Amino acid sequence: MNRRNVLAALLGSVAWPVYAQTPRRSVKIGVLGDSTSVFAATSGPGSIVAAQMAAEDFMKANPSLKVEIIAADHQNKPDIAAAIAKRWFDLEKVDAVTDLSNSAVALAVNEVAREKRKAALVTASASIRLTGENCSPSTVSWTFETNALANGTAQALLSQGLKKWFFVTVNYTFGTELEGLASSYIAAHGGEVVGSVRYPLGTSDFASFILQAQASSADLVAFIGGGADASNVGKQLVEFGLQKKKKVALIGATIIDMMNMGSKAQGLYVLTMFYWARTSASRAWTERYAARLKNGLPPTMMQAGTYAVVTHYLKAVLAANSTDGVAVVDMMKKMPTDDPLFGPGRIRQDGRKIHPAYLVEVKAPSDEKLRWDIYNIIREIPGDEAFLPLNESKCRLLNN
Amino acid sequence: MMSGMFARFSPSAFEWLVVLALLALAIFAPLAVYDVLLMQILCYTLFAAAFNFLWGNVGLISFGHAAFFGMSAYTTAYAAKVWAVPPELSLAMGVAVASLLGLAFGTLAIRRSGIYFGMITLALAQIVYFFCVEARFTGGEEGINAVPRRFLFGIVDLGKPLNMYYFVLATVVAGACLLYRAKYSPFGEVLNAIRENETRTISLGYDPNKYKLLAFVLSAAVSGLAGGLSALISQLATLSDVDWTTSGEAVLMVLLGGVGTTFGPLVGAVVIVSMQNYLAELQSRLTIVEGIIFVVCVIAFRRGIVGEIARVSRGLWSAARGNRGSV
Repeated sequence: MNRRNVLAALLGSVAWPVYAQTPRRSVKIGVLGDSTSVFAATSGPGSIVAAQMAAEDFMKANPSLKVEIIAADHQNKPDIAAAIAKRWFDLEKVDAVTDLSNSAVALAVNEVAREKRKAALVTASASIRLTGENCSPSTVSWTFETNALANGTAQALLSQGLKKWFFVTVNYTFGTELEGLASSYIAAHGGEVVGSVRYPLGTSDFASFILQAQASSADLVAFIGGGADASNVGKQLVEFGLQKKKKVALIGATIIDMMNMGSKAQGLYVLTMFYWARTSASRAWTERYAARLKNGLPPTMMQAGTYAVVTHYLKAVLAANSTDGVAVVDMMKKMPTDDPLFGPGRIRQDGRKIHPAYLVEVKAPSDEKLRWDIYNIIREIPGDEAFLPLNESKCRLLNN
Repeated sequence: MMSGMFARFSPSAFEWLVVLALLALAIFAPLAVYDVLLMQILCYTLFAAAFNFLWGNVGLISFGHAAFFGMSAYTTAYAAKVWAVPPELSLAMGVAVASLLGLAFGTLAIRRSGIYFGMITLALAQIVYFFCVEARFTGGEEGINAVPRRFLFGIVDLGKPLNMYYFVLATVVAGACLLYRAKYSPFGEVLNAIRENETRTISLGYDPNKYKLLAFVLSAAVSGLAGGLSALISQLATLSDVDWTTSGEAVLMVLLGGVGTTFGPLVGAVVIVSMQNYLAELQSRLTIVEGIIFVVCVIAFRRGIVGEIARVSRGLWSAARGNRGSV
């Protein structure tokens, strides 16, 4: 044994017990979102504010832990996102990343976090692979998933007596998977799919799709698509007066899309995991949020999810007295969740957060009592019925 | 304007000095700079160099190079992940697919020149993009993730960052050498002749279309090599690899570095990739900064960074020798 080893052994024996007994003093969380492009309104800058609020609220209650929030724009490039996440983990001592809009980005960062044993707190991707074949012991999927959108919408609308469905679906994995899931649910529960059409991503003219839907014998037309597609289709179907002849649901649309459509959105159905005006606690939180962000838009379920997941993560860091991604996420799964936005809930073994889903209908403008108060909650779908059941999950973590 | 730059038949001694210095720098760079960033820079340098070869030497501006880059990335990722193929073989498969695609694109596109050529390549690349959106093997918008790097020749573990870095460095240098060799070969001279005056080249007995097609396939193959590398570096292949913005990045890098210059692609890649990585934390200002740089470059540095440096230093050199005017 040479001198250096002796020294290291001595230092180790002195330093180790001290380190082990001292509680963690600081945590660093990176918000990796889209601040310029398609997801900027639904997560992005709003998610950063939400994460900062979660950190501040937590530090007020627990001054012993210093929480730092940093942020970057992933530009919707998964390779850039993965490189930023790696650099954050390796060089900047970031302990967790959150937001992660864009499924490809979320899946890429999920792998980086798995390799580096850091926490990935996904709030803005609906990919079912995050809790399925790509599930990781250090990842939590908080907000929503395709299965919940499909099952939740189908269950809630079938119970409204809408049995004959027509789908207008965006032609990529998100859309086709969602339509498949919803169709099998509908068929199994006494409904019928009378027709469906596919449109390419980024379509600007929906006239022919809307006319086909209008000509069908369906009671309900379900449009599946997100981002620009959702708001384009929303505006055009209103021009054709489709919602006067049939019931219309927009699956994958957010409150931002509904706000953009203005008073014409009246009567449309949407499925959401969070509605800001649902409880007095979430209304109070939204007031604080709006005072910080000042973009004139209500918080989305992704932004609310970022606040909630960061809050729960920080509680788990304190409880586990660790920042190791796997240890903290384990603790997150053990502790029941409770926050002002989603209420009480839990995180399953596959990393899926369970909370209710809400089918909402856009109100008539004359019924709005508060600013942004655009939804009537039609039905609450219990979390266990909305999200993919654990026994159907392809997650390998469940086998141990 | 550019004929002076291309008229030289062989690389100068000065260029060789720079190459050696850069190689030495690249070998020791991982000590100072984060290796993931370096690998991305190298990968995009190769991509930009392949694009630069076509633009600088043949005068063809393609807006569809992302198709070669992306399809090769998908092929490499799929082969490595699903067929468990070693990296050298999966890369070769990626290059093969990119070359075949290049042959198909080239056969159609080289019949036209200028903006029409660019539009045809863009249209074909968009077809490839929408094919990738809907094809099952690409994983749609979720892409192919967790691509294993495996063992090079069954011996070297590319899972280790430094091994991977030197593998990427060696591959990029090999790819760049190939382009360099082609540029200064008799083949490259014919390409220059075609760019300068196609009719005259025909009158000399050459068939320009054959040369253009070969140059196009070569450029596509090297772009494919870069794409395959990117799949192994970031361990994923996604739609952003085949997106038209990736073609646009190649244009931007080459324009910024200097069209037709040897080191332009490297300088362009360093600037753009570092910006994407480090300015990401600026929030919402990145695209504005990129745009401003592009505008400034087009207005003030028509020759790109390397091109301007070369011009100024040549001017100083000839002034020092007292024979101003002959460049």
